[in-house]
Formats: sequence, structure tokens, C-alpha cells
Amino acid sequence: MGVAIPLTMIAASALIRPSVPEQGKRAVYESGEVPTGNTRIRFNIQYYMVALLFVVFDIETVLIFPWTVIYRDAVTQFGLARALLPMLGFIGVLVVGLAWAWRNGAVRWVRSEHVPGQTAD
Amino acid sequence: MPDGPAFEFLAALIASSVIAAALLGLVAVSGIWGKRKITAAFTDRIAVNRHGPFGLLIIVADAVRLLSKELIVPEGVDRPAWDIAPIVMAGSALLGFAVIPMGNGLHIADPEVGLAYVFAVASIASVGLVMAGYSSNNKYSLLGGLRAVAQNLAYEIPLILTAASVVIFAGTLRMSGIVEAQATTLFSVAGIGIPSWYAFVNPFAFVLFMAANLAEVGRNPFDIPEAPTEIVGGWQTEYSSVYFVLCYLSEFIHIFLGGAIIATIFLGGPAGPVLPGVVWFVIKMGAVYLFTQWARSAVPRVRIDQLIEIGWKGMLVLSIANLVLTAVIVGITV
Repeated sequence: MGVAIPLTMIAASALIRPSVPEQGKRAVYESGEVPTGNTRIRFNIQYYMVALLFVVFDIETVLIFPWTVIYRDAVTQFGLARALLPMLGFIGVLVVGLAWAWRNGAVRWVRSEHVPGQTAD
Repeated sequence: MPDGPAFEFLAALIASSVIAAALLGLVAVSGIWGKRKITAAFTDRIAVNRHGPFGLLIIVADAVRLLSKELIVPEGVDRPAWDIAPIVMAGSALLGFAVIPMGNGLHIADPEVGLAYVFAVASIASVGLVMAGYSSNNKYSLLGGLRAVAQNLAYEIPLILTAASVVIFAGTLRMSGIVEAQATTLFSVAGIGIPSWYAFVNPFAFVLFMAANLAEVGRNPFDIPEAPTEIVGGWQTEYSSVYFVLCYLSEFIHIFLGGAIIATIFLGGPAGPVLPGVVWFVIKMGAVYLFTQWARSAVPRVRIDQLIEIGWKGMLVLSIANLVLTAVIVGITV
């Protein structure tokens, strides 16, 4: 259903819309200027380190979810210490990792070194 | 009544069609008409009032107008990716509604991993954003697509960790189970019972989730992937005609999906007095929608470097603290 609805809309639109090909109509939009170059270039992804961190934390959330589901039962069955402490240790390791990345400047917008006087973006 | 897999499949198809149609109607009303009226109210204008009562017929007029526009394919676009991106975005948001309990039995599927499924499906839209941004061969689109990634990276984890703190209370990922767990009375004030909705049980998580959700659906103060005053239309700059409709629609369905998730895991789902469940569910979803539109009109945009700082140094730390504190409190009181 999620794919069928967009496809139906595209088909319906194809039936009623006009097609008037014209010179210059297909130029990419660059605020009215004649476009220069294309976008298939090497681009400085300034949050590269953050993206790497994301992978770590995303896997962490996947590992936390099963624990949250059984947590209440585990506390009644095995007591607070055995249910909580291992996960505190696990999250603790991640927090230490985050603090380390923070101190080393990984969690920030990396500024380009080539452009003087540049602020952000 | 006949049964068997063929009948079940047919029934599921009809049910999902009904829900999808109702949903698209709601999105059309809120997206085309409601948004303009709300924004107009914030900026002291009247907005649409010519077509039909309160200008409501603008919905039909706009839909026909946009669908009958010429589809301009810009030079140098990466063709399959450029075509698939709007379908991916709209489809992923619609899929999320499959596991949302809307009350009065309107609930297509109730898998055991409901909550995880919703987040997984909603995240697919990020792939669509990157595809749209990169394949458009437009500088604004490229910037918008990359910004969308940065934003989703920064706010996905606080969002999911905050939801995990709710799961600690409920003890299940099943959506109906989470709603049931909120049905008990928390305490009574002057004879009126306050239900134990997780927004009341854990208001801190609720606020955190609302903020992260704003970033997830890309509304102010976190609307940098589009940022109309900076990068034109962001990743959707080059889309026209029906593709633009799909991009626009998918954004609004996403806001509603966010509202539906918040209503389900924090506001007791379809629970409420007097009115039937579906009405309460739509009211709660509408309230979240109103909040996003309010933020859109009233809150300034943050810069992208600020966004990463807020996400990674503020909200991630807060969400981990929230999770640990919730676990400790639940562990002691259980």
C-alpha cells in the first residue's frame, strides 16, 4: 500500500499533465544564473567523524532494546543489582567513549582549513 | 464468514486502503488548508477563504493543480534514483502507520516488535532524502541532502533512547501493550483520575522526545535540510509536478507519524473520556501537528554546527541520563 499509493498518483498525473519540451527549461535551478559545473565533485563531508560515532551508538540502541523489554521481570526475579549493573557498565563504557571523542574534538563541525575567515557551513 | 490466507490477504488490503485513504484525507486537510490557516493566524493574516466554506475547497483545487503540472526533468539528474526517491519517502511514512493502534479496532498489524518497527521504517525516509539530494545534480539539493543526513544522525539516537525509557515502564515493544500499560489511574485529583500516561509519569522523557521529533521531521528550529531562506528548497529544489506532491506529502505524513508515535507511547493512544477512541487519537495527533506548526512560526532556525552540538553534546547525554535514571527508579519501586 505504501508503494501503491505514490505509483497511482504518478500514473494519474501522467494522464493529465502536459509535456511542452523547451530549450533551457531543463537547466538546473541556480537562482536564475546560468548553472556552472555539476555536483559530481569531491565534497567535504564535515561531520564525517560524527557519522562514524553514529554507527557505534546505533548498534548500542539495538542492544539496549531487549534489555528494556525484560527489565521489570528481571528485577523481580533476580533482584536490582543483577538486572541493572551489567547494563550500567555497558552504558558507562559508551559514555566514556563519548567523553573521549568529545575531548578529542570529534563531535563538532569540522572547519575547512583551506578557506580563511570561514565560519560555519 | 469464509477464511483462509486469500481472504485474510483481501481483508488486510481493504483495511489498509481504508486507513490510508482516511490518513491521506487528514494530511490533505492539515497540509494544504490547516497549515496555511495556522501560519496565517500566527502572522496576522486571513489566508485562503475564497473557495468554499472557510476556503476548504482549496484542497481539491490545489491537488488538481499540482497533479496537472508539467513534470520537468532537469539536465543531468541520476534518473532511477531521482524517480525512486519520492516513492521511498512517501512509502516509508505510510508503512509506519501499519502498527499504530488508532482505537475502535483500527489497527492493521500488531507485531511484537511494533515500536522498533516504526522507528526502522520511519528512518528509511533518510535514504530517500539522500537519494533526492544527490541525484538532482543541483548544489542546493546536495547541500540539503547532506544536511538532512547530519540532522538525522544527530537526533535518531536521542529519539530511540528516550523511547527505550518508555519501554522500561511498559515492558513490551508491542504497540497495543504500551497503550494498555497506560490505562491505569496514576492518582486522583478532586475525584478526577489522572491516567498513567507516560507524559505524566515521565514528563522529562516526553519533552525530550518532542524536541527530538521536531528534528526528525525537519521542522523549526531544526529545518536546515530545507531552509528556504538559505538553500531555496534544499533536497526538493528540482522536484516538480507529482514528484513535488509526493515530497510535500511525505513530509506531512511524517509529521503525523511522529504525532501518532507520541500519542501512542506518551499520551495513552486512543484513550479518553466520552468521545470514541479514534476521535481522541486524531485530536492528540492534531495537537502534536499544531505544536510543530507553532514551532515553525515562532522559533528561529539553528545553524548546522549548532545542531550537531545540541544533538551530540546536549540531547544524547540527556537521553542517556534519562534512560539510566528511569531504569534505577523503576528498579527500586518495582
